[in-house]
Parts: sequence; structure tokens; C-alpha cells
Amino acid sequence: MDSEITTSIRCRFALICGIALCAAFSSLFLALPDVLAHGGHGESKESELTPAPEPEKNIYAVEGESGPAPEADLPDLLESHDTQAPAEHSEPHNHKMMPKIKMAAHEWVSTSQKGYTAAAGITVLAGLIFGVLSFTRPNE
Amino acid sequence: MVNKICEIIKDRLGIRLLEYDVPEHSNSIRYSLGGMTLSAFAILVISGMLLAQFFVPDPARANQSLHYLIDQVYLGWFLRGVHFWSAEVLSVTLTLHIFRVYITASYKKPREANWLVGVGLLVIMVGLLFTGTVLKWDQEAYEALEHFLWVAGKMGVLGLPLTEKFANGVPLLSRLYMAHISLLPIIALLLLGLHLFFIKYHKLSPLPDNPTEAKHIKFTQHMAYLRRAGAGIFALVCLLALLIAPPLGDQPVLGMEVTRPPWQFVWIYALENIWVPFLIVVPPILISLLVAVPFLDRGEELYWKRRPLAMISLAIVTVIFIGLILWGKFTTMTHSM
Repeated sequence: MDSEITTSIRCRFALICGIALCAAFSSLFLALPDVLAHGGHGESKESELTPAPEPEKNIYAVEGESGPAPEADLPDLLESHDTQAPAEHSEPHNHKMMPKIKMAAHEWVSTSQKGYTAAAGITVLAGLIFGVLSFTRPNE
Repeated sequence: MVNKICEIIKDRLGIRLLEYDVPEHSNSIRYSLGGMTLSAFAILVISGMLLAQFFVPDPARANQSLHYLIDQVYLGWFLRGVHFWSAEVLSVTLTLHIFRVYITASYKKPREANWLVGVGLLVIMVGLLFTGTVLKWDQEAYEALEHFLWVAGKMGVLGLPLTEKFANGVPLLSRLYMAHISLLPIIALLLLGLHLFFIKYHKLSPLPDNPTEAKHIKFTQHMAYLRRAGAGIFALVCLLALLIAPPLGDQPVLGMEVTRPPWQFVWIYALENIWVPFLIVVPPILISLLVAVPFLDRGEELYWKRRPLAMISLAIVTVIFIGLILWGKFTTMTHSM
């Protein structure tokens, strides 16, 4: 009877800890205003980048490319309809034409990703191992 | 039969040396946060080794190699997710571990040296987090590096090895890659070894409200507990990686400043918004304060309720950090580098 009660308490404790951890990590990304329910990274996305000014001749430039063109004819950021375009940027920069930059964001993983079933299997297995260890407590 | 096999293995591998007594409270979440951090670090190392098979540390191809990994390599997206979420979990468990050590005054005599080693480990972990952020070489990475180079530039001769001028013609990204996969992990492992040695030498700190606790368990039982905790950490990381993809942008647009740093660094982004030189001033002050903790609080009291000044200081620092993180997440940048 005592061992049943202890096991029950342990089960509830393990469950509560699991839920609390999930809630803590969920709040990390749910608090972000830029979590989007996209189809996932695997799907092709139309690039919203306008041609960037060519980089200077430095080690970060791809070979063969010439120097920058800061006065290049680029669409005005303020006229952009791109909802992902950064709305909060410094005043001095707004005076120049700026390329659109697609902001990286957390996205839901698409089930069409390569190896999604295998990944789900690994996750379930990991959860099962944790569950078994939590119930049986070998050597603890 | 199984028991006999276990006995044979124990005799031959010296596992009996691990059957020494540790306090019973070792097997609690509070006193296993360090072990959980270690588990997350182990997952990072293993997933990092696998990621290194696909990453190209050249500025022209780094971002591309990651997109290839995610889009074309079987389970590549999952591997990257595991690496990213392990770092997130490590950030949380490490923070909670520091809080626990502080609240239970486990930095007090004779454990001051272990606290200092822990501060060193914290600095290394921050360095790993930063270099890992830069390696993906998207807009966020580029802007992080720009801020870093600005700080390094202000440090004069001390900052020279951290800049491009130190090795002309060698991309800084390649050097940061070396630091991320080699230099910093090696230092981390050395410090970790020292950290674990000190825990063994000084023994686990006693419960603050019951320093003379008599109940003990074997260390192998504590290892079993940590094994279960590590399995839980791995399961959580897999679940997060299965559901949520880490962010990855395209090649950076040089000269732009439009992104925010990850939440672990966004507090300093907020400070930078107040006064840009805070980027240089605040990190050394924070590290100095952390180093000074065991030397400022030298009383013998361990119980948190009887250490009001220490608890008030912790509360103030926590509120400030959370406030800066939230403000940095939602504020508008009013300056540029």
C-alpha cells in the first residue's frame, strides 16, 4: 500500500515537473511576437530580399564582387508592405534607401521535413526511456 | 545472474570507488541542476560534432551550408534543433544552478575556489553561446559580431587578438569557429574537471537549514538520479527540436542593424540603448561582482531567511535582469554602432 502511494506520488511529481518544464520553455518562445505558424523551413519561400549592396572588398565578400554601392536605388523601407520588415530602426538610417531584410524567426516544424517520422520516433523513444527510468528508478 | 555480472564489472572497472557516501539531499532537483547542465552540455558536444560534418566556416558559404543541412540532409533540421534547444536548456539550468548555489550559500568556506571555477565556466558558456550565434552568419550573427568587434576595438591592445587585424586575410568567422569547437570546449572541460574535483573534495554542500543531516546515500545512487535527469533533458530537447525550428536567416546585409540578440544577450542590448559604452563597462563589472561574492559574504550563516542582505541583492539583480530582457525584447533601438 505504501509503495503504491509512493509510486503514485512519484508519478504525479514527474508529470508536474514535465509540465512545468514544458510551460517554462513554451513561455520563452510564445512571449516572442514573431513566432509564426508557417509550413516550416522545408517549404520554399519567396525571397523578400531586394538585391543587397555589393560588399566591400574584405574577407567577408565573395570573390569577384566589387565594393559597396550605398547609394544604390533601393526601395524605401518605409513604403514596404513586408510585415516582417523591421519597424523599429534608428532615425539616422531611415534617410537612406535600405534593402529589405527578412527577419529570422522561430517556426513550427513542418511534418514534410526529411526524416520527420524518424525524429518523432527518437523523441518518443527518449520520452519512453525517461518514463521507464522515472517509474522503475533503478539503482536510486 | 545479473547481480553476479554487475559485481564482476564493478571489480574490474573500479566502480566500487564511486560507492562513497553523499548527503541524501543530493537526489533532488535543486541539487542536481549542475548535473542537468552537464547533461545539456554533453548533448551539445555530441550534436556539435555531428553538425561540424556539414558546416563550412567560410563567410561566403557558412549560411548556405546551414540551409543545405536543414533542407537537404536527412534529419539535419532535427540535429540543428537538438543543438539549439540544448543550448537554451543549458542557459536555463545554468541560471537556476547559480541561483541555488547563491541561495544555499554554497560558495562559503571552504568552497570559494569552486565558486570561482564556476564563474569561469559561466564565462566560457557565454563565449560558446556567442560564438555559436555568430557561426550561422545571418543578419543576427553579423550584427552580434559587429558589436563584438566594436568592443574589441575599444579595448586597444587587449582587444587586438579578437579582431581581424590579428590575422590578416583569415576570416574572423573561421577563427571564431575554431574557438567554438576547440578552444572554448577544451577550457570548459578542464574547468569542469576542476569543478567536479572540488565537489568531491569538499563534498556536496549541506542543507542550509539542517547542516548536520545524518542521512546518506551512495554516490552511485546519485549518478542514477542524474542519469534519469539527463534522460529527461534529452527527451525535452528532442520534443522542442521536433516542434520548433531555431531561427535562421539568409546571408547578412552588411552595414545594417535591424535585429535583436537572443534573449540571453538582450539585456545588454537594452543597456546599450541607454548608453552605448555600457557594452564595455557592464560585463567586467558583472564578472567582478560574481568573483567578489564569496569574499563579500563571509559570514557563517547558510540559511537564506537569516541572510536578508544577500537575498535582497539577489532579488534586485533578478528584477533588473528580467526588466532589461523584457525591455530589450520590446524596445525600439534609438542608436546605431
